[in-house]
Amino acid sequence: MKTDREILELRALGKKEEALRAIVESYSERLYFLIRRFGLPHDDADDILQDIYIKVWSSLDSFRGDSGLYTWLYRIANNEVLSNLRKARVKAFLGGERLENRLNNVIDEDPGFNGTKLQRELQKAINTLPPKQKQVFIFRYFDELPYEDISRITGTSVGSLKASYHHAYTKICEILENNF
Amino acid sequence: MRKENNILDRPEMKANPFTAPEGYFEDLGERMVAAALPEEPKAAPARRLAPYFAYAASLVFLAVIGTFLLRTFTPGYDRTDEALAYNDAVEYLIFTGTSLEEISSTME
Repeated sequence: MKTDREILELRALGKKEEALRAIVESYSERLYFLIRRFGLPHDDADDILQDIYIKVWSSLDSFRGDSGLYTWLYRIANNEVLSNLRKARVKAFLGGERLENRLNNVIDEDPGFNGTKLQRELQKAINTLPPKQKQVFIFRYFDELPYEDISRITGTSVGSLKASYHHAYTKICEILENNF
Repeated sequence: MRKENNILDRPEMKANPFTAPEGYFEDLGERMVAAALPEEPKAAPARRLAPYFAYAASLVFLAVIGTFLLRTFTPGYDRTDEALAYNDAVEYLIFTGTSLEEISSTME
């Protein structure tokens, strides 16, 4: 596995394909589980991962490097996930269902979900959050990213992110404490 | 915002509860790279067949010219279809997109 610096050196040397391979090798697992945290099933995560790397390949030349590589990758991933969730919301709506219910079913029916009952309820509580709160909660709570990095990933101001995180955190605590 | 003994402070809460299907990550790298890289450019069928079109076009062209000469220098020959045959050849060349360079190269 290569460091971000080594990956960027490969790109600087014009070894774009090698740089892509190194990114795929270093980041796939993190990105896959990040996508799953948004409540999406395995097959969707696999599709989104492919879309992410297609975008990475097409924009690797224009990556300026003024933000970290992981921030840039997370920004692409975040955009892809939110776009996918928007489509899923519309599909659920047309099917006369709420997206939240569909995502909850994904967790209940997922044979690969190995969490405790409390973790299951946490994931379902995350499913109730609006997209902006959901993204900041996932990046801050699970990945413990600094607000400045989340701001670069989401394109939202630090102040707004802090407010969203506060709302998300409080709401999730309330849901969980009512159930346990 | 935070209460003491907050439920979200429990260590288990941040652990990853998701797993991927067995072996998923083993071939993931190659699959993802293959999906991301653009396909090798394949010549379009019309482009691949262009040389054959050029040969066919030049044969038609020669046949038309030959017929035209034969008809011109054969006394009493009926010339009614002459213009039609020529126009057909021209239309054929335009339809196939055969360039003048391609025609001339096949006639050399």
